[in-house]
Amino acid sequence: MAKKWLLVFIIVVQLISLSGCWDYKDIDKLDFPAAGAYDLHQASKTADTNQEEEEQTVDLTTIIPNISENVKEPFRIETTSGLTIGNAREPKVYSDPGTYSPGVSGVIIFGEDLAASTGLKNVVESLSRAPQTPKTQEFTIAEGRGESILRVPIKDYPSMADYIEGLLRQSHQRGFIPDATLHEFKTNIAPGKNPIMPLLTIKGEKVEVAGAAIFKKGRMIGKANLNETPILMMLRGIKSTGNIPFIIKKDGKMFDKGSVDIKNSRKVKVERNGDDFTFQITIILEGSLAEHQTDKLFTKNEDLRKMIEDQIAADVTEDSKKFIKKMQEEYQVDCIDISKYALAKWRKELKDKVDEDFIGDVNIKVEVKMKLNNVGELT
Amino acid sequence: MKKITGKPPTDDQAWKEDKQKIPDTKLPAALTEKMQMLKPYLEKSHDIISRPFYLEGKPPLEAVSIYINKVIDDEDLNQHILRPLMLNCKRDSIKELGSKNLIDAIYQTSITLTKISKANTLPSLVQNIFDGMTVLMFDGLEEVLVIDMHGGEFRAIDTPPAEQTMRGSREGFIERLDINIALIRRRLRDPKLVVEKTMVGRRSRTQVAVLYIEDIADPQIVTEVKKRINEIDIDGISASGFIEQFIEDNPYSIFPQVYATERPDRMEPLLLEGRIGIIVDNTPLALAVPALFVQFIQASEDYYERTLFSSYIRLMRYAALIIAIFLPAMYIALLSYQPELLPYDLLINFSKSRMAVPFPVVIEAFVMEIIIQLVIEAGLRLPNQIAQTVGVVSGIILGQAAISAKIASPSVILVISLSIICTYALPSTSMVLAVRFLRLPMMFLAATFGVFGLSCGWIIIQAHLISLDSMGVPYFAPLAPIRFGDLKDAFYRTFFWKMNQRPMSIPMQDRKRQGNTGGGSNNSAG
Repeated sequence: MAKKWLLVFIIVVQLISLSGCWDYKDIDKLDFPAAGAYDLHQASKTADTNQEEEEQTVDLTTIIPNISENVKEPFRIETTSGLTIGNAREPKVYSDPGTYSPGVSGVIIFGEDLAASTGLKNVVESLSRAPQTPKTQEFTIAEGRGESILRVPIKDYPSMADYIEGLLRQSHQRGFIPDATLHEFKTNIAPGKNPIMPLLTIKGEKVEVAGAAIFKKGRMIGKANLNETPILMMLRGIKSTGNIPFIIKKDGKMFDKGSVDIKNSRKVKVERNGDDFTFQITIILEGSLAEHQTDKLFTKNEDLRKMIEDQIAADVTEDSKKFIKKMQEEYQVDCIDISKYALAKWRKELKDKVDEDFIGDVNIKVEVKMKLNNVGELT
Repeated sequence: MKKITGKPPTDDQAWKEDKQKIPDTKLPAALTEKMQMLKPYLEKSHDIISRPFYLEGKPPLEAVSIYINKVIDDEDLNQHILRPLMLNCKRDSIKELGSKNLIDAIYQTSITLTKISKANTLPSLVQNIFDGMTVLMFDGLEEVLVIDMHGGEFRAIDTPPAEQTMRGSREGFIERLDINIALIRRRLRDPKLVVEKTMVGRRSRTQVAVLYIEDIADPQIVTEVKKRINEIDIDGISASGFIEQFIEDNPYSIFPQVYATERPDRMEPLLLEGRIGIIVDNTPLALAVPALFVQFIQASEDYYERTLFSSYIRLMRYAALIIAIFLPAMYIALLSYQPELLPYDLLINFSKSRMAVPFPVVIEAFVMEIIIQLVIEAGLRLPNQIAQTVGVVSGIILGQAAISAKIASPSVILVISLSIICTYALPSTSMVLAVRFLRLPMMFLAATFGVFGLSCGWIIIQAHLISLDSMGVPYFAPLAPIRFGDLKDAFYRTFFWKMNQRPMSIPMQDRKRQGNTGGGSNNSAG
């Protein structure tokens, strides 16, 4: 019996050391940010300050809903500054009686300056260290400052946080735009891998998706526009769906034009001949005809289906080659996530150089297989 | 100095027991002497009726019938005993009928009832009277006739109130032991069905019947059950709950280890699965052992409805069990410790709903839980009509008033109400009580340690369930120890034609249940 009580005592002591009523906090006394934006502090950006990189400070902007029914404004936007992410949260205790609970924010926007200068490794380290932070937090990059995005007035949504969350989800599912979470970012800074993130911009008085931000490990090094991003997604093998247009010409004249709703996948093979590496990327597209603007019937034009398939495959192949060329020459970073295949086979030899100039020297071949499943006619 | 203890001296106890004993003396032949001997035992019991009469013949034989008022059937007494004895008794023809003596001749020729025995000692005479037997004493005869003609007023067989079904039988057990046994016999006409009766309670002398199928039930368990019942030394029991508490393996557990049912059609399959039934006189609830945890989530209806629907409902019940125990605790843990685990919009809604409430989540939830428990308790003790009113008042008006008075948030009312509804979705009353009790410690753990405490509570419950036994059989089987074959009737119920074997979790002699190999047109004996 004494042993039993001793065991109970040990368990209780261990329990108390892990958690306890001192961690108690009532939900209505907390401030829950709907979205947060991290930017390089304005003063740090000016050359006059002559700050070293490690001395640069960070601005944290948050949208916090006003819970009380007596407050007219549905939310408030606050910006605080600090040397680090955690330090930037600290001033909130002097200006807000609610306990700040950063873990619930669904979207984090990083300013372009911060992402391109100091990079996001430290930010991500700070976020992922807190156990309260969900690893599914959506990451995105803002052209300009993230704060500016959050401060854009919005009418049709409860707050900019709701708008961006919906926008990112929708554009990823139906528009060949990448999504990035805290977990994905962390896994994509491993050897042989590099993250990409959706890119937001302000057009007029509206926030829109502008493409994808390309990273070399934690630092942003380039942008892909809305034309390049679908190709980047296909080459990278991120499954998505979207609409792709086509124009078929015959004897120099337009024969048919339209668009196809497609979904993508990819296969990668890697071969080695001495120090020469050859990657064979096969992009597999499947979809159905969304529209075509001529009155040609598939029943009477048996080749039409194949012509559309071939045209789309040729278009995607051409765009892919252009993007690969740009990647190898301009970015010089593997943003299409193929180095991992070589690394899997020859890790010992490649682990030290795979993140250096490896991708610029390899031979990358692309083959596109397009299959039109439905055309809307009984053929 | 003599040490004073709380226990009475042993001598004093023995004296009390001796006083209760009746002198073991043979009955005299003279009727007046017999009546004189009985007088000390009957004179203070005004409900015991002595009816003197004369048997027909020359000379008429003086006799007395003694019985407890309203315990026997008056009509039977008049029709089958008094009338034949007073008008048609053929006591002159003993030799012609080949009877050994006069008393044999009397019951063989004149009494048309069946359950008759003889007694010739004072203790047996007194005990039979108080057991509700009708005793016939004759002048000049040492032996008396003891006739079992229990009857009188009793509740008719009715729908079992706590275990109603849509498609099942409408018959429930009543307070009469013999009728309850007959209800089982009518469903189970197997000659191997054994019914063994015993008495429990030194003073109440309550009849207890142990039922089992001889060639299915495990003899060791049968012996153990009988041993535990026979070892009960108590002055009286008034319900089967007494027996349950005496024979269960772990009295400190909040989980029921003896299955109680008020349905004979539920008891029948339990006997067929090798369990042992215990029926107690004056109780409309029969007991079955060994009991398994999964058994308390199964309902009679599961076997009357089609397989897919039954399985769906059973899964719902498991979900209800989890919700009933953990929902209020989870509410406290999430809102007070780990709000990050909630979806953002839900978090904001909860936060808004709590804005006006001045108490912490923990206090709010505990207060509402206790109020609802009290409302349930009040409803159970009140007549049906008033109980309904109390239910409506508490459910609608009290809840609304609590929200208006800003004592509770709508969300906590919803959470507590949902957990109560889920509690009563469980088919077993015993399990309902266990769940009602279990909710509070879980809330306490959540209030102290958050989700972490809740996880610990979950582990403790599971460890406890795994450690329990019912008549030596692992209580948490077929989950621990795992019995894959029995999972067919645990979380879901498979097709009857697939249940070829009786449950492995219950020790038994005959494992084979049936020989069917397929449903519908595929059905054939294998």
